[in-house]
Amino acid sequence: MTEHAWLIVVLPLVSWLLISAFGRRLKNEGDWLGVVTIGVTLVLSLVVLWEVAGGAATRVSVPWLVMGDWQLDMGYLIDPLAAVMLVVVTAISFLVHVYSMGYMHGDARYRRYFATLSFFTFSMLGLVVADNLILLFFFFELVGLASYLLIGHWYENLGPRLASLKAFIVTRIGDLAFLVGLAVLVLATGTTGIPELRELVEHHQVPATVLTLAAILVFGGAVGKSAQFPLHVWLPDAMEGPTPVSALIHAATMVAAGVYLVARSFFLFEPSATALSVVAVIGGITALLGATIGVLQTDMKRVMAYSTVSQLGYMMMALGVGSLVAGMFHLWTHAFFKALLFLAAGSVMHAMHTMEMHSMGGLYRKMPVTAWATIIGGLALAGVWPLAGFYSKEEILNAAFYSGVSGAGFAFWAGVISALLTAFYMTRAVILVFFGRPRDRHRYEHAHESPPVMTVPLAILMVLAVTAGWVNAPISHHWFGKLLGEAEVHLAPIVTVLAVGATLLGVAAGYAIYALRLVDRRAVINALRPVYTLVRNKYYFDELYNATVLRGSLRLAEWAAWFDQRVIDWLVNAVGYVAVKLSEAAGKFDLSVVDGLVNGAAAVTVGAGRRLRTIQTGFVQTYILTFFAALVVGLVVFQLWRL
Amino acid sequence: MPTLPIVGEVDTAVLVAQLIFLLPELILAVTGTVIVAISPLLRGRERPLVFVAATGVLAAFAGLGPSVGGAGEVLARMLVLDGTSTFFRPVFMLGALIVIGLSPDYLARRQVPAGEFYALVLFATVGIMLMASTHELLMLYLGLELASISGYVLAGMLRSDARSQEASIKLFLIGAMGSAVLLFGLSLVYGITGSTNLVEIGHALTGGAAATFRPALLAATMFLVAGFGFKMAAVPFHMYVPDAYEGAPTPVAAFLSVGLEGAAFAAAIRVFVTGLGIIQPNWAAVFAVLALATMTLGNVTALLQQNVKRMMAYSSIAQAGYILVGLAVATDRGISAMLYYVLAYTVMNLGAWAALIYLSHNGQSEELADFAGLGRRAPLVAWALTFCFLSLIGIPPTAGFFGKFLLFSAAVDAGLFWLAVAMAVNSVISLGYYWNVVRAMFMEEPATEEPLKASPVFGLGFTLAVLGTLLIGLGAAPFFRLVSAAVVTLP
Repeated sequence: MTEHAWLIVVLPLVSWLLISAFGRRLKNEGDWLGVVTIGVTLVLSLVVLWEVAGGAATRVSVPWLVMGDWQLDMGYLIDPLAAVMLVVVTAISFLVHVYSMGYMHGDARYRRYFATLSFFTFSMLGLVVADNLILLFFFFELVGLASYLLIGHWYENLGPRLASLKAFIVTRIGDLAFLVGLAVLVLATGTTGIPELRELVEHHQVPATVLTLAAILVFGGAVGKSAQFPLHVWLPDAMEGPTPVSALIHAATMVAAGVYLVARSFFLFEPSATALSVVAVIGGITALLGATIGVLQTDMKRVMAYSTVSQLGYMMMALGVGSLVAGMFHLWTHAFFKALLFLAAGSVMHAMHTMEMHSMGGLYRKMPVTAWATIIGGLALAGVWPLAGFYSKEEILNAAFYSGVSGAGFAFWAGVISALLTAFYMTRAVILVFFGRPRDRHRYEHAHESPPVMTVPLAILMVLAVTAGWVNAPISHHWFGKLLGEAEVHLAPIVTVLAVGATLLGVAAGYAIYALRLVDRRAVINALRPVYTLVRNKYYFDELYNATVLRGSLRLAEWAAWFDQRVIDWLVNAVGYVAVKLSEAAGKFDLSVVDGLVNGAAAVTVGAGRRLRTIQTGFVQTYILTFFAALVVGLVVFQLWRL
Repeated sequence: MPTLPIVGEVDTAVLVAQLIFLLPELILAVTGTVIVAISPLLRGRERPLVFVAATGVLAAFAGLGPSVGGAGEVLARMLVLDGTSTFFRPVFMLGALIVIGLSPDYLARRQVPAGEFYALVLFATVGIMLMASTHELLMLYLGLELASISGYVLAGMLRSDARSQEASIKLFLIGAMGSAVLLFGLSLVYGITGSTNLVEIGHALTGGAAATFRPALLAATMFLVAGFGFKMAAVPFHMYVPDAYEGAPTPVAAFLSVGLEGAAFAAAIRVFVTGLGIIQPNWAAVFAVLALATMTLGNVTALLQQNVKRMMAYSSIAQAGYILVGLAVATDRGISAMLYYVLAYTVMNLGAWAALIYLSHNGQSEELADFAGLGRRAPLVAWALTFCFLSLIGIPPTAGFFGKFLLFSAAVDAGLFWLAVAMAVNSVISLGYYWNVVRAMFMEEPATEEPLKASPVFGLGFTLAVLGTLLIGLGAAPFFRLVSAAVVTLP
């Protein structure tokens, strides 16, 4: 199967085209087509993973564009990294497809939704198997487009519209860095093929400074896509999209594409201590930032969103401290339990038609499956033994603990504190939503458990959220780590104690405040008013960007228009006036001197200049004057400019 | 001093035999004349003329046959057959063919006399083809005037529309001045070198004339830059463009934006590279400045336009800025990138204009509000327009992406890193206004559900443009080879 891995990418593409073209005529607008196709790709991906685990690997590359001595290839590279990612993407995508049949039932653009979901899956899988960075970049852009379309699915409302635009533009800032990084690599090495680049780097054919520069620029792309500080602002807003989309794109797969990008080009980062430090520190900051903001959100989905930001920070941090396995392992476990949490949130949304946690409460009695899903997902996320998150978080903290990269110390403590905060906000969310007494009687009365088409995917994910971590645990002899090429695992007891302690402390604090009400929340808030205000307002990042970048570019545009209308016109008038005077003087001085330049310019400018004084809207004259003003300036500069 | 080639010195029989190389232009001119002659006989039912015009262009394509592979100057050195002319002649005919296909519905709706329209488009095409295929300054100038004067008349063809009249008169007044400046530059070059043949001009300049007459040569170069800059819509010689394109009939604006601009670039390559190659650092530096100013001003001003037609005018200014990068680089790679971009620009820009024509011949105006809900009213057109916009922005795998990519890498290669960065930044800016239209089409509710219509001929023209944008992008390799072969090398 491995050598036919292109099928995995092409099938969703076909599904997208078929649903777009014929969905109207198909039963249920073609949703089953998407489900079946993704189901098949899931099976194929599992086969590929099986074969890769047995030692298979493949790379197929065909020339696409030949430009002189440079050519661009198109191909796919299946190695353990790609195989693992294929399974993550197809598994989550499959479950989200099934779930969406229930969640999106009766939506006005049901067909478009499923078509775009297929399109996203195609792009994401293409990104995973791409064998060179340019091709990877193409798909990087395509998943961005799919994300844009799906966030804005309900574009009648202002929120989704703005959010989709924000996501698209903010991530493009990162993409620009990625593109420049590609240019640097191409200039330095003449290739973008991933194995070729790795070869060159390993044989020290690339200067260290170039490598560092390229690595940091490529990381820029990851910062945008994986919502790392300071470009994390788009991800929480992206929650305006349908919840299954948030689960698939903005929790499990696409946002992890940045992490995958760094892992894929890890050979660029490994030799450069600087690049690794940058990744580790940005990851650490992001983990802390997301976790602190998550503590004070009252919208259930936004809690999850900031949690995702925080966990993506964890993954980056792991890569930054030099452990590819820890980063990818957390990507793997996180995909399952975070998808579970989002789908559970979607189930709550389906029942309550709101995400505001302060209007919920007591839902456990109404929707037990959803409640258990959230609890298990929350425990896995908080890192409680023996659930998935425990193993991956421990691996990351250990990697940071043992790492020699500068900044690893910061990353380690950021990780520990974030673990505490994570446990706290998940406990808080679970208690606010599912326990206590209902705060909105009306909504509570109408709440009901979701249909099986939604709860079955939840059940499957619950199992996975528990077990996904076992693939890299003593029980499986660290199968996952060995597959991705990690030799030995060091686990320090002190790290485990700290991690478990932080988690327990977080859970206990959450329980004490929200269930037992041992501490008055208001009193704490009042005591910490400045901090509270700062974090509640998400550190004012949006306000900062609004005031600087956004307003700045609008100003520039306005200024340019104003400049064109006022200053240039004024300059033209001034030059025209001077030219008139000069040419009159020149004309009086010597009429017989034949000088094409002066006569030509003067003849027109005299007439034009006179009219300008009488007719205010002498547009043509303005244009002609500009033309000659530019010409005269050009002539003078040109003569003086020695080249 | 080298003598001018005189027709009398050439064997008349040879001359007549060589007319075969002029076959495409002759066919176009004859078709135009025939259309003018028969259109009064049709008594207003001029719709079928579109087929006559299209057939003429297709026949002219076939007429290229004898010219392919021929090399050298023929017809008393008036016509040059080389890679560049082999490349540009079909590209311009392709542009004309698409414009002709897009026009009939519009002409019928706005009561433009179709016969005159097609004939003038064909005559203008002859002019721009000649501009691109001669080493002879006089021929170049004649081609330019043939194209320009046809353009002035075309711009004013909406006889009852004051804005169209305004566009025409503006184009004429300013165009005449631009031509005069260009002609003055050409005459200075002739004065310095004693020749009107670009190859001989090049020889004369390398032979010492450049050093002797340096100030005059620099002045002449600047006049030529201004003259060509005017036709290319380069900032600061661009000011007439938004008014002229906004007022002119939409198919005419489309034609001017690709045909006349493209021809100005073709002719500029010949004049500057072949003729004035010895002072390449000087003019290349000027073009670099113009490229930066043109793309930046075009893009930034386009951001604020509410009228999509005017926005497209600024967009075409911005695109001219990108193409100018080729002249600023002035290496083989730069020039070949420029050729590729002109080809890509021809199809993608016409594709985008086609959507405007479509709205217009359905009785809509070209304000942004008219695009609202187009995604629902006419999904095919909306998607095609989106695709052409993606290409104009430079998103893969479209033709525009590869064009930008080639220009970009040529600029980096030549050490003009700042210009490459400016290109990248500009294409991000352009995202803003193109996407604005896309957003309106897909995310806003249409004001009416009134169906929109187009004839099959329009569909063909549109398909040709969009398919071209796709194919030239996806299957870019053969086109890369074509433009590398077509490049004019610096002496």
